[in-house]
Amino acid sequence: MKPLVLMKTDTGVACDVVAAPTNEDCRSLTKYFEKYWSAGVEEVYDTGFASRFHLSIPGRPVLRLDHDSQTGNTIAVRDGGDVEDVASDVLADLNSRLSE
Amino acid sequence: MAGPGQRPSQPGGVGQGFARADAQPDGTVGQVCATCPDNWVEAGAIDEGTGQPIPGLGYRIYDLVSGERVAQGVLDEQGESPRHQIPQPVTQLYVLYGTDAAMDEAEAGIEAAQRDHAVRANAKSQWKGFPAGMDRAAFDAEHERRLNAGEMVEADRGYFEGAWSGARGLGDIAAHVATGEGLRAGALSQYHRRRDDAWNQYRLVTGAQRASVGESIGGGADSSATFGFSDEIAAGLGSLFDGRTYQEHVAARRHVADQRRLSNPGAYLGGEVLGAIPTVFIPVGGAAGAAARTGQGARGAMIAGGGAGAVTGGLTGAGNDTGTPLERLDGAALGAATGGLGGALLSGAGVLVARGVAKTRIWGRAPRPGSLDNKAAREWYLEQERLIPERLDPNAPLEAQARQAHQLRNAARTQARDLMADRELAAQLARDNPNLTWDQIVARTRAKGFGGDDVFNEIIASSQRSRGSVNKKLGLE
Repeated sequence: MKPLVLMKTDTGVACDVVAAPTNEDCRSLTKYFEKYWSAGVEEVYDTGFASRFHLSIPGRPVLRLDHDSQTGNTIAVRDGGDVEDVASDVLADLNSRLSE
Repeated sequence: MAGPGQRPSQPGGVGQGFARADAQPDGTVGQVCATCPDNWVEAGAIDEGTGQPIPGLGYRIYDLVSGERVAQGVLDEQGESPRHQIPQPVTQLYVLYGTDAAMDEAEAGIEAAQRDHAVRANAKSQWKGFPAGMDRAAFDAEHERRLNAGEMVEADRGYFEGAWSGARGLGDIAAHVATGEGLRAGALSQYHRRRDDAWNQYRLVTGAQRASVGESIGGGADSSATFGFSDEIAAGLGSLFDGRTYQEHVAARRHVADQRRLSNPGAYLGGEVLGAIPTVFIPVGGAAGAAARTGQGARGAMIAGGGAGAVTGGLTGAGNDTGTPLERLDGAALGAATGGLGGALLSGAGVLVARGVAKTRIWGRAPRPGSLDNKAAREWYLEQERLIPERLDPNAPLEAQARQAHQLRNAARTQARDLMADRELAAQLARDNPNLTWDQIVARTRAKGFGGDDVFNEIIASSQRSRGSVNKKLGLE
């Protein structure tokens, strides 16, 4: 199983964090972004079955972390685009950690 | 049931009643009342939206195990029933609340669910050496492997089914010869058709699917046309052609017949949902349609138009529709006319289904939409999700368990959305995060890279993983 899978969406390319799919994992991912990427985390909403966080890493477009209890956690560019274009280093690090 | 000094209609009493009902494990028949001189049950209903009991509401009480109705009536001015004596062995019950027409529809749907459950409970762990849980590709590969090894694995057929199949086979070959494709193409076509038949019977026997309407009717026709001896006739013929004994043939054919008999072509109402949620509100199609026909709103007409599945439409709707139950039932009209969900019940737009045990008053508690802030909704939902694994039938085939998990998750999502006080966000989530169908969730899981049984394992496991491992991997511990 690949820990991360890229997928096309209506607004660009997002990353499905296959290896960390739960609501609790979503919270863990926000902490990861805070700790390792100095991200500012804004909770837009978290209802358990659907959650949304905005992740502001200095010098980059704002990312969006979404949780849906049916499909897991995805990372996308908040205003649209390819998440690999703005966060390839983040995805590489996540991939490395979650592959362990 | 309320404790001393607490009225059952008070929140504390209701809470106790549900806590006691929730605490009852499955399969406790005979335990609660084994030493009791009598056995009884009462019913009551409260509209949480108004905090008032619901007088004048019809109810029917059923044995959860057998599905038999054990009592019925109309709630009194206090929203309570008289005490009904019930048979001794009955300990787990459920109650329908609503109008007669609405309860009739719900009853039909629940019967379908029980048959579905029975098919799964009657399932075998293998069919002719093919283990339960194979996907189509694996089944076909194994089927061809055995064919190449000299064994043609075929579905067991009844007397007339066999004759019909033979006639179709000859027709296949004749058609291919006539069109110049030749005998080989005809034989290959026939092989594929027979493998399809084998696949369908494999799925039926292992509980992965119910029989189609045609199969159930066909099975019944076979049995009646041969005066109930179709299994024996076919088994006698079959035992001439493969290594199984006559008795083994009879047993196998009777199992297929049982699965067909137990199968229900009607709507699917997950019994597991009934067992999982203490009280659930189910809009019913016909009654909602009647509301629409009497001018109660365009939305009601939409529900009626798409509501052939009656209760299934309701429960599937509980998983897929948007808005609160009242909004789904043209709440502006029904709510204004009748003053809440209790009114929706009294107008026949839906039923409440409540679960409980003997020697208690079982309370139908119409859920109060919009009562939880986001934090509370999150906690409520995650608790429901956490309980999913223990609500699955461990004896069901893997795919059936995955379907149960999917259905339970969808039901919990919809209820959580209904309970949210932030109606604007609830509406947004209904739009942006709709409940996926089974086919959609399977496709999405495959797109993540899962294949074979891992698809079902992933659907089941997605709410069960150990959290510690992810935190550790992310460097958070």
